[in-house]
Amino acid sequence: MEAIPDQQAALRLVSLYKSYGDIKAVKGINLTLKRGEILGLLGPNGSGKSTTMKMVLGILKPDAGEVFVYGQNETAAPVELKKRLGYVPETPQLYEFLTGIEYIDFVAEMYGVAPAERKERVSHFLEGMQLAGHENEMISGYSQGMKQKIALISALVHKPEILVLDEALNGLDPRSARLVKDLLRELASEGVSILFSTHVLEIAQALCDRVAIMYQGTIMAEGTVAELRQTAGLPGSSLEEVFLKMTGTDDIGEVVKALSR
Amino acid sequence: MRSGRSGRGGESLFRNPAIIAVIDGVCFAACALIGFALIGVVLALPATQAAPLISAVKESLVFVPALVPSVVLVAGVLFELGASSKFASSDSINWLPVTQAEYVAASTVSVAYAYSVVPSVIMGVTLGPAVRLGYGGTWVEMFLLSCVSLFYGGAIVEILRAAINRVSNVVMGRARRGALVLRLAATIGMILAVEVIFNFVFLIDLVGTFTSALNAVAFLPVLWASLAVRASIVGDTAQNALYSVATILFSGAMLWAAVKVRARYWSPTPSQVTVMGGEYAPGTGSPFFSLFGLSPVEVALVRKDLKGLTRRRELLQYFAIPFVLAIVFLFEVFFNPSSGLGSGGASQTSVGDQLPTWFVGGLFGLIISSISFGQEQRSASLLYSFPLTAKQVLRAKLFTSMLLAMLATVGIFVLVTVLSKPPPLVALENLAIALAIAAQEVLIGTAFGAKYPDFQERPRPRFVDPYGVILMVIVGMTVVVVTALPAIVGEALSSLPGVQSEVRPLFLVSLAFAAAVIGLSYSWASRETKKLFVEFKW
Repeated sequence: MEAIPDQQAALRLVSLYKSYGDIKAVKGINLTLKRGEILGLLGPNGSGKSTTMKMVLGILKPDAGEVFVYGQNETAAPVELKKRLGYVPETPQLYEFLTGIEYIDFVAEMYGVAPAERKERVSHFLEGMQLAGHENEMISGYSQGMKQKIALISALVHKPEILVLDEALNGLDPRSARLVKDLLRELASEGVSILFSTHVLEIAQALCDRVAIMYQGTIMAEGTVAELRQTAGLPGSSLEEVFLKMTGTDDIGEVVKALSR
Repeated sequence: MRSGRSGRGGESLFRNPAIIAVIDGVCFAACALIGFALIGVVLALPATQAAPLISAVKESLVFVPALVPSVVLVAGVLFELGASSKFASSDSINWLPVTQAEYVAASTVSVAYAYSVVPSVIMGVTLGPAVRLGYGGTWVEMFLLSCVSLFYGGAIVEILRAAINRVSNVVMGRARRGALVLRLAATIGMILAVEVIFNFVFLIDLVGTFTSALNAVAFLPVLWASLAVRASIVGDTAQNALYSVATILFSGAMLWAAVKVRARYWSPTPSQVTVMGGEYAPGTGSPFFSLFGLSPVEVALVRKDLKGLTRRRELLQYFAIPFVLAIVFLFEVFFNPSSGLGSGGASQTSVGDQLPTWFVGGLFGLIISSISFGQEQRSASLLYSFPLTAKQVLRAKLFTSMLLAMLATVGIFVLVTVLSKPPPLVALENLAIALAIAAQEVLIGTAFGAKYPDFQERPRPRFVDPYGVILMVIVGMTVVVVTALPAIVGEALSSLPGVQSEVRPLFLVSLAFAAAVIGLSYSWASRETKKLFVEFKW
């Protein structure tokens, strides 16, 4: 795996550590997201993906290590650097007493997006995500997929340079999921850098330029899907087979037998 | 039973439902001791003085079975109003294989058990008087009937819960923005009605007329238990049996009705509320709020918080605080003529008349500001991810709380001033102190809210850690008293001949103290908010 020069890095995580009491969630990970790249963060539940993303966003404070956004240490200018980020959490904790459009407006105001600029972008997003006609309803009545769409629109409304998406396709219908995938590819081609976590390995394989596999708080492997196949010694196999081999969860057949007894 | 406890943290004794039984036992024993001591004092009095008191005790025994379900109802309705709407429809009971009857029966027992401390206290206090006056048997019957009453109170709460759920869904689904105003008014109205019914001054008045009015309203099922107790006291076995059986049958009927109402009206899915219609027009901030020097980001936070306060069911009750406290104050005016208020005239210009303004404005400011961080609940994580500084969040939170506290203070001040008609200068002094108290309390509440936030989402959210609430109320109320004290002393001294003009400026001491507290508490609130925004802990 070759080192990525600083000037090419949109986001660089250096020796990040995070513990919750006795549980070591993230154990000194180093990761670089290149400009205009879609980097997939894969790993089983509890492997530290969401914790890593929350540290990038400033929701959690690392116990040790640093986060650099476009070469600048995030702790030095957190407000300015956060303006360049967009985030969709695994389970969006939206303000459910607001309507969809009020929420998007609220987020846009947080990022200082001018009303005129907002209007056209938001209208297109609402149409594209098939939320038009529901935008004036309170979020409390939305389905999980609709909430996810609102979270996605909110993350994109200020045209972020780096997108941090934690299971962003969860709950989306096939059409919206396809739309988001195409949109992410388009954004990446325009220079937006995307850190993308998912459990759906087919999506990672189809969408991501590179993949990093997290397991028990560490990065086990990082590279293109082809490089990972080489590393795992499984040329020609699927990403799923590579993933299961690397994370030591290839004993699934035995587990299924035990569960079905 | 466990729905009110925290979702995180270690095991605590108070998280075990069995603790309710222990508390009941302790309350019963303590109140029984008090009851025995009180009746001992009454019986030691000369016969002429003891007679009316003994008569009052007998009336109280009759009153108890009617009081128990009412208290359960009040507590149940307030509990329901305080419940988070997020949990109203995601209740796992909607999909678990449980029949309506099983659910309602379990829930009724749960409600009855949760509020069993009420009959424990009442039965404890009445045990001594009943035994010493020779009504031991009646007390046992009263105890059993109170238990039955407790259960039908729980069943009625179940009926109300189902009805509130359906009415809320229907109204919210059809009435758009008007529904939000309607719900706010209805909530405040319901809490006010509860407050009126259970105002202590009103209750004392009611007990006096209760027994004499019983015959006229004997058709009301909620009074049958009381009628049975009265029949027992006068030795009317037939009436006693009749009303006792009727009470039990009524409880059964309420349980049956609760099952039917739940089956018919419970809405398992939340209503969809359309707040406004028409083409999307992006918000352009608020020129009004900007006048106060707030940045666009801060204005957006203020508007979001104000919408939350008026739209979230679990927050609506906080709006009722100034109204409820004002009602208490008005009761004092109308039921206690010696308060001097309401009659007007230059002789009723006591600075003490303004105590309600100071306490209502202060307490409301303290409470509404203390929840400002915790009410974000898990959505608070958003604030950490947005490009915001802790100072911006603090300024927005302070402004929202300050705006509401000042409006409440001025409202109560106008009410009190109209009733007490003080000279203009005195009124201005009182207003200055009232606003200073409200400002102090908002800052103190915000500091405690930032230090002890509770972001947990549970059926009945707390927003502030209970330990923090206790400390906050002690500190906040002490500050109100200390701020008011120089003005009160000045008032007392001004009544002395020849010193009026010299002591009037004592109110400036109140303002100076308030200024010092405002400065210190702002600094503290600022430090706590910075600490809070280091990382999101929930």
